[in-house]
Amino acid sequence: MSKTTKEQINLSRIETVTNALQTLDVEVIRTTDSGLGVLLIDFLVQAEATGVALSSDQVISDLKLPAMLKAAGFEVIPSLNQSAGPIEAGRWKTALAKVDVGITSTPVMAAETGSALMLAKYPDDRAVSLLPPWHILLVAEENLVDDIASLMKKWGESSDRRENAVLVTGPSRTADIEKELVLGVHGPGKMTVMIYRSNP
Amino acid sequence: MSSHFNIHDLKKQMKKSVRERPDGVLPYKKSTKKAIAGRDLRASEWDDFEERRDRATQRRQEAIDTLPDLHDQLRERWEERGIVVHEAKDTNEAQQHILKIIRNVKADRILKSKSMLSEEIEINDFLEKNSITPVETDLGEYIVQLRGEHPSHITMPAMHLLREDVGQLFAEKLGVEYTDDPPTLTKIAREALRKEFLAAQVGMCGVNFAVAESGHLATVTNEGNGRMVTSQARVVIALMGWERVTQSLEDLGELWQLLARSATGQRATVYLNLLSGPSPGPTGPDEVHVVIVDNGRKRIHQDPTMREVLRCIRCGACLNVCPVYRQVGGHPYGGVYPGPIGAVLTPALHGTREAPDHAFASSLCGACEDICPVKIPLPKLLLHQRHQKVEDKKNRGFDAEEVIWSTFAKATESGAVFSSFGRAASVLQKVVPGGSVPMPQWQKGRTAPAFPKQSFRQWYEQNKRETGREKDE
Ligand code: SF4
Repeated sequence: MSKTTKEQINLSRIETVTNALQTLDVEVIRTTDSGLGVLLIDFLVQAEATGVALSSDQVISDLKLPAMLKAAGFEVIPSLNQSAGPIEAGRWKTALAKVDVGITSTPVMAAETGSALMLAKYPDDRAVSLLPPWHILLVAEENLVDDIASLMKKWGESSDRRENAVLVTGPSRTADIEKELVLGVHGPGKMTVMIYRSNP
Repeated sequence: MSSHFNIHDLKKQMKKSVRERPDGVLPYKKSTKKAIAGRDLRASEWDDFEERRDRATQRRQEAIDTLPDLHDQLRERWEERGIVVHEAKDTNEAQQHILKIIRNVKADRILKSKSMLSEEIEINDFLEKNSITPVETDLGEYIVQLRGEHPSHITMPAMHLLREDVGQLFAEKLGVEYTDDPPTLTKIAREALRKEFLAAQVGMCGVNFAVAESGHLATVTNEGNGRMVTSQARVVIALMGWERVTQSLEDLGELWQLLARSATGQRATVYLNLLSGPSPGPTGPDEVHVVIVDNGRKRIHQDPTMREVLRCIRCGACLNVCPVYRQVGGHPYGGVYPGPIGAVLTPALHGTREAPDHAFASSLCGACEDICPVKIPLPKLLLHQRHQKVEDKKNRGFDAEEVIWSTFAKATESGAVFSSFGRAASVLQKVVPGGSVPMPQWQKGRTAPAFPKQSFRQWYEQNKRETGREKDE
């Protein structure tokens, strides 16, 4: 595939996913990997966030987010040690529930629906994207695919698809009272998706 | 089954409901209308919606036809990943399995995410009797549990309530200040349940689909309680109907989208939780149990006609379009599953003698079949059941009732005969001595209603604009 066609496909996916996410009340931001850290800090300051929980996944550490955010004065919840006991795990969860935002990345997102795959390969991730009231999700442009069928396929490219997983499509919501939409029942009520381009 | 469900008195309950609220139950009208508008929008978005329905119908049927093989596959996967399997042939066995799992970890409280099957096996009452507190965490279920009621809809459990009802309930039961603002009410529930989640020891969830290829137990939720229950508790009990198996993650992806579109007009639900087994890390779960419940499903599986009902993905769309459901709501059906799917499933699961009237709780207008994402021929299955009921009777000897029901069953299969039958009944009633149709068995415990001057069909033709979905869109 030539570089321009590839870029066109990416552009149309970005447009599709942006529309899909906006109908779900998700804020969508585009940036580059080098600009992401600064933009994120700006963004958190504006929202008056002080406590942050980060996933221990590869993308987050490659982007050096933990160090950056600490340096900028945020309270960063350290990820849970794998050998921690239940009491420690309980304390960690309570701390997560008190921070302003949880930040994770996704290995693949379906443009049509705006659904992101979250793997429990890093066991912390499920709680980081679930307990805080605000979820910021980082997606690399090249990890956008057309639809759910392609998402399932891409998942299979890097694993046997036997992990614990969850597909996340927008913020937690309910319509149980007179079918009126309310965001943030048990999961986060606010979600931001940052789509970034990796510069070679 | 011994049960507090009242599935025997459907007709009485329906009449009562109409008498009490002749204009229908207000919240139902509003909510079903919104749900259908959403579904229609999402259906129109896909050019190939019909082809996708056909494909899903076919894949679902293939899964049902090969269920024993798919279960073998699942067993292998679950064994590899350390999921413990318990099989229950009926409610009693399911209850005992669950009690044992909970007692094993000495818990006195369990957190539940939404599961219609858990209603079917009446687990809440049973656990309470055994000094274990079940806590419903889906907002609608939480509301319904606080009221001591059962869900009135498959996907929207509190559909029968207005915001004022919820406001009063929370003020009374939770001691908060009265408000009828849905966001504030939701926040109150969030805070109450958040504490529970963080301390959760045992969680119970339903299973929308078990994926044979990968072994995942897939649970569909919007609120996040399904995720909480399966990732924050130490022990997870997944409650699964025997027929809820799909072949692959690809099939799951397709069914999930059809389910979301048909149920609530979403492209996808917020969460699709895929539980494949215990997690080795400190957050758990340490144990995952799956309880597979038969409760009559294997019997249905043996009837080649009824078997089609096992395709059902519990989207609730057939309830939303049903003129009967929209008029009387969910509770008169008495069982767990209301509306057209309930009319078929209740007698199929419990037997026509337990639920004698369900097969007749339909005008056979066909709207349910038209909207069903997996094309279950609900009207045909209702007729099949009416016929079965007649056959049952035949085996028990001749009586006038049998003749009349069999005539009725035949009549309903032919539009023209059916129309004349309704009008004839109205005349017949006047000429039969005592002003009543001679059906002694059937009349026991029932008052004979006067047949209306107009037949239902005549009435429906005149009124469909006001009651059916024609008016809404
Ligand atoms: S019968 Fe069809 S429409 Fe009704 S709940 Fe089942 S899948 Fe949905």
